[in-house]
Amino acid sequence: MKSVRNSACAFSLAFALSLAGIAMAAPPAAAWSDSASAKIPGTGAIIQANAWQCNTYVDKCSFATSSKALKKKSKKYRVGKIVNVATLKANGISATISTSPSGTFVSENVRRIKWTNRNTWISDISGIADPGGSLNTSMTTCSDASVITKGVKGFAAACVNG
Amino acid sequence: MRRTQTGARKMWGKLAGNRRALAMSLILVAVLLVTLGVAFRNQLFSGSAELAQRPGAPLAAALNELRGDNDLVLGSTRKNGVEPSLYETAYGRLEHAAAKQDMPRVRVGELMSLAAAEEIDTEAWRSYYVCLTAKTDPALDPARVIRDAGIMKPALDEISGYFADPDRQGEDLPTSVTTRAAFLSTLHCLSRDSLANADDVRLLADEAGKLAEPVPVLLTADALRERRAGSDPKLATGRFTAADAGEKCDAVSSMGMAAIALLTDDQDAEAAGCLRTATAGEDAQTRWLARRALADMSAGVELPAPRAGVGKDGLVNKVPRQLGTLRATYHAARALALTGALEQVPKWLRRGIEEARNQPDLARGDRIMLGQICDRLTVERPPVYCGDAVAEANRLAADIDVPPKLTQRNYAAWHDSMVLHTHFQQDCPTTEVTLPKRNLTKVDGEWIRALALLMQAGCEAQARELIDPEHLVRRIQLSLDDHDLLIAADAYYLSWHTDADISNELTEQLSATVLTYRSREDPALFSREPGGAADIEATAAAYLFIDYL
Repeated sequence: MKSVRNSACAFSLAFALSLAGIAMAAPPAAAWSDSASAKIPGTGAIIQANAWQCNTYVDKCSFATSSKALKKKSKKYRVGKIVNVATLKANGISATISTSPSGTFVSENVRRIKWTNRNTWISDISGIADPGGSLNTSMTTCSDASVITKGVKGFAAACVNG
Repeated sequence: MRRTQTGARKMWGKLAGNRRALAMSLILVAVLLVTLGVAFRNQLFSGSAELAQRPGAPLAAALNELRGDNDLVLGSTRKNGVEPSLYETAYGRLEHAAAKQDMPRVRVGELMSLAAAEEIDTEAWRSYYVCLTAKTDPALDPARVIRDAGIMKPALDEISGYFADPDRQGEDLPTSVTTRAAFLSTLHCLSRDSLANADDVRLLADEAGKLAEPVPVLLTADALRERRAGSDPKLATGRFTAADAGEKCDAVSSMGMAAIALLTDDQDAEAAGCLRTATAGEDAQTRWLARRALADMSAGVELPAPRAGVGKDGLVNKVPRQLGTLRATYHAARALALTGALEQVPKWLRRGIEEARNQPDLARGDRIMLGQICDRLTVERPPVYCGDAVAEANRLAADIDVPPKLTQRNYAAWHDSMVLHTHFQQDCPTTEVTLPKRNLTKVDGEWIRALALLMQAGCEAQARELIDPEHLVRRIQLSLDDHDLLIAADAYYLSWHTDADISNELTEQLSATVLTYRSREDPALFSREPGGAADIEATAAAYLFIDYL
């Protein structure tokens, strides 16, 4: 489970690179919503996609995604290359979104952020998202995970729904 | 949302003062009870969280339709993130072709957009998948797609760089061989064979020829075969036998088993049985390789239909696993409370809530939301699986202030902080709400929600000041005409707390209309549009609506 820092500190504009991925200096707390996994063929391991976003807007809206390679459900499994792509989408009429880190502009209401790691078990991303545009704008966070190791590739994907 | 005794008495007074309305209301309630099969709690006389328990099993059971992969409630049965995937498209189409099934042609523009934007893979790998896709659609020009996607140069640069220094990335040898095999195949597809020189190809064949892992060896054999270059070295594959596939017949070794079957001439009946199972597995590449291997074995076994769904655009979607949220779970808790189903909370949801509570370093917002959920699920005391979530949320909520003024920019924060204030029974907060227009039929629905929140928070005088009852009633009708159940429910709630005159005709219409919002999945769940996908917020709104009708 990804451990995330207290979103009360999310107003900070400081920016730091974590060992395993991109993160704001004080990103959100625990992002545990991890249930999407797929087998990495021929290895006995799985690739797992995790996604989390704020459940209330009383604080700035944080998000976190990760890709994890695991064996026997919880043991870290080192792979050659592991990639995570976070897609943040604002939903609603005239919806817009900005994120920190800024990522790739896909459209006015979609941002994509990618992080690649090598020779490890995890690649993760976290930050702050600011959906806007209309009063009823909501946000969806999706996480795509991929891995290549021992000559095979594996993919998994998960989206927050709600 | 909590009813006050004053509000309850007003509502009952309205009914009792009009016999025809009273009779009609009783008939409507009876009809609703029969139709929904749910006993409703009598909210007229209870204004607190201690509710009389009634059976609410249909909703509790129906929540299974909204069960997230993480054992929290989904916002909707509508799936998020469903979109085409290059990997799924390439291998899904190959799977269909191996099954000799027709499929739609690929829409070039859509494939090009996908190749341009799909960040999970590098440009070179995306080009590889476009080339694989072109094998199943002869009209497709992969070079044109890749060029128009703007990834030709970065893909070729990446491939050249990889062949120039395959050890640079520090990847394991099987991965390096798989990658070079894929890239060699891509170069041939794009008529750029010369970008991999003879030494590059020789090194690849040598290294593949020593691997114990069959999949990269197969990919290398495929790439060399496609080139049909007489000068290419022969790939040593004689070391593989059917016995190497192992005895395990599970998805762990299915891809390897298929690769060995394709690399050897051994016909293994047990492997054929395992591969047949693999044709129905989760991974598209494995399913395709299994079919290839079985065709090669002339196994003659009957196979299931291809699993990949090829769309009208010729592409195959990935369907992400859907994760529930605490926010959606809160709406579910509201709905369960409204239908008196607090003793029927599904076991998976209890587990999900407990697991959420046990996470280390939870965000403040999540801890508050957990407390709200657990408070809603409280009968005489919070459920065991909630621990001290309610008490903790009470403490945290005390530090959250409602913004002094509601603006367009801070609407979400204002909304959620007002919900907190209402939930934890704090007094009417000091906050200014100015409607953009006086006429409630002309404002966005979110302003109606804001007025409802003011009323729920105990700011009755302030809300009444902003409400013209006549416009409010008209807004109920307009919201239903626009298929906006949530705003109609808010407007109807407000009408009970102001002097709005709701005609019997409108009440009858509302009763009938709300039922049309039952979801397509289960009659105990409601949707944002009539007969649409189940939505948990719409479900809570519908039960609140029904409760007031």
